[in-house]
Amino acid sequence: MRGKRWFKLDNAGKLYPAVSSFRWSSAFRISAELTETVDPKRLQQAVDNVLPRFPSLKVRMRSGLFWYYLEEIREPLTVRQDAGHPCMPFRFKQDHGYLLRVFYYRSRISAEFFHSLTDGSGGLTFIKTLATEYLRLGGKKVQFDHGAVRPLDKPGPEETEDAFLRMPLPRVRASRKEAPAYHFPATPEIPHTLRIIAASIPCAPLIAEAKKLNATVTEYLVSVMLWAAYQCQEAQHPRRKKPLRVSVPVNMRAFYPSPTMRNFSTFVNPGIDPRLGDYTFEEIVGEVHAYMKYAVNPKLLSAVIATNVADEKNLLVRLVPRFIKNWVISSVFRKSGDRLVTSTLTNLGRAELPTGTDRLIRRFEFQLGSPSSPLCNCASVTTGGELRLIFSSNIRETTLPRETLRFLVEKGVPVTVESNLEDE
Amino acid sequence: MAYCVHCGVKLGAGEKRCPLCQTPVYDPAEPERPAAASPKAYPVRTPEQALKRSKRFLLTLAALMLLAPAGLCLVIDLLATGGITWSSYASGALLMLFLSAAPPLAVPRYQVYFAIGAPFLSLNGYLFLVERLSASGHWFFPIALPSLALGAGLVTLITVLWRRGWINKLTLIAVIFAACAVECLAVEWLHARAHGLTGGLVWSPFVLAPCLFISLSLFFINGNRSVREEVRRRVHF
Repeated sequence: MRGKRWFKLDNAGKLYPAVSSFRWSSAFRISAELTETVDPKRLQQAVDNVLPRFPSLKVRMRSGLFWYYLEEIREPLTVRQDAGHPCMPFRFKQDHGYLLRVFYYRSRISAEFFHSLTDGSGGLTFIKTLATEYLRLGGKKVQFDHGAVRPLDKPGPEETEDAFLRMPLPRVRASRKEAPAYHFPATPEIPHTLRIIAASIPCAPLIAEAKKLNATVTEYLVSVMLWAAYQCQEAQHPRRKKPLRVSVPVNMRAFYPSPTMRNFSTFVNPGIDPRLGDYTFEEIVGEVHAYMKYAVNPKLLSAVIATNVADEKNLLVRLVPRFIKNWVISSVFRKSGDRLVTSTLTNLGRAELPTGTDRLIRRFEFQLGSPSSPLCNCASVTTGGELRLIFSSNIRETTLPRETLRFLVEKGVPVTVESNLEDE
Repeated sequence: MAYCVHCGVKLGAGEKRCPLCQTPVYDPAEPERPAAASPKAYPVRTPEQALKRSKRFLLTLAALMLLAPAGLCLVIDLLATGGITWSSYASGALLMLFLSAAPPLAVPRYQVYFAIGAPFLSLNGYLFLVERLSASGHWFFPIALPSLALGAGLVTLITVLWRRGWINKLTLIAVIFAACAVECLAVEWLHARAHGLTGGLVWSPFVLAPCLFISLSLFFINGNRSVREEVRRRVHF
């Protein structure tokens, strides 16, 4: 029997085992909602068929002297019924060490990933493949295309590579210095509680509203979130203003095409500084649009990544034992991390449906796990003509989703809301 | 399908309240809307489960950190002196800490009152033990027990006032200072009574006077809006 395969953590993935805690899970969830109720036995079969195709997901976290690493798991992954606690922290020694969970609830298949394994794009590939295989096992005529991969194909070596190390990096590094951003007033929930508010928004009126202001949907949504935060800060702390920023992850595959299933994204922080003066909504959209135009280009993003990679490649850093690195990384993260942003909006964009599944998969969903600070984060994905926007938070207040969605309704964009909140 | 009258959003079939503003769904045509007819889009969170899990971990941690050294002290004492001498004080103190910490962690609800009651009972037990072992006279029943009972009563009263929303932050501080004054007064009176001292109050007025002054000042500031605003303006940060 061959020895167990192992992988180094990718550049972005190195952060998460050091900083994840019982409060912050570093997890995210991607779901496929079908038009039929999920059969658990068939889903288990689909997972058994699909998982060997994704060697970088069939791994456990192991501790090395200097870094964590990922080691192949040979035991099967068991699917579970969803239990109302999305994106719970992963415990590295439970469930054979799997950093991936698969759930079913009514007609929804969900997969949760520890962020060290993959990013949203990789997660979407997995859930598309899993849902397509599930439908194939049910006798449906489907094809593994448009982002779904054939389960029997052999995974290529580039699918498990750390694409950060292959991309051209400049010698110049981007600065990480930013002032702390405004946070909404928040009453933290007890640990392991994630409040979900999901909104379904038809794309056509949303795109029309964004186009009126010459913005993309992501820019428009970021602007609405900033507007909500701006008004909240104006009402509550008119004399102690802080900058407002929304973190927006950027998929680097758009600039450096790579089939990697590992992390290959970075982020930009568009925002406004109300200390400089008053803003109208149109001004905010203009600022966000200009910032995104400036910041989302391969040269500047490479400089951001170069900073992270240079730290990882530094000989002194590499020689420091892992437990000291953990302490340093978590200290730095506490001082930066979520302190620098008011919220996060990650938009996976339009998820194409594999051929033959357009009447069998109702939509995809993307959901972030508990933030590291008392915050409300937001994730979205578009299927067909509908954008699914999910707010996930570890706080009791619903200020951000409420003001964001009310704003859209006022602009004539219809919004349907669902949640996992108890009807108290 | 219902709409929230405040937010204007359409609500999912399983929602009985608007998730954004908690406004209840009310359909005049269907005032008695069946709850189970439309299940929710997501499984409802059950925070008690998570709470139990994290509390169980803390309970185990508290037991390991407090009971293990307590046992170790007893063993060392037994080996060194052939009996239980000094270790009863150390082990008793650690046991008292554990008994103070464990009940609020073991009980899922009403943690605040358990958090007050458990230390009160365990501290009484420990002081009683010290009195019996040290042969330092009878001071537990005449002094320690009533002092602790008064303290626990005052803390409970303040907790009730705060939880019911009958006092704000400023008056909470005022009440705490007033409670400190009462407690000091009571301790000196109980001490004097137990020892038959008749010289009147000696030290407690020095605590009583500033505490009462601060407390009354805070009540005055709280009651007078213009003064309150002036103070806020001058000391805000």
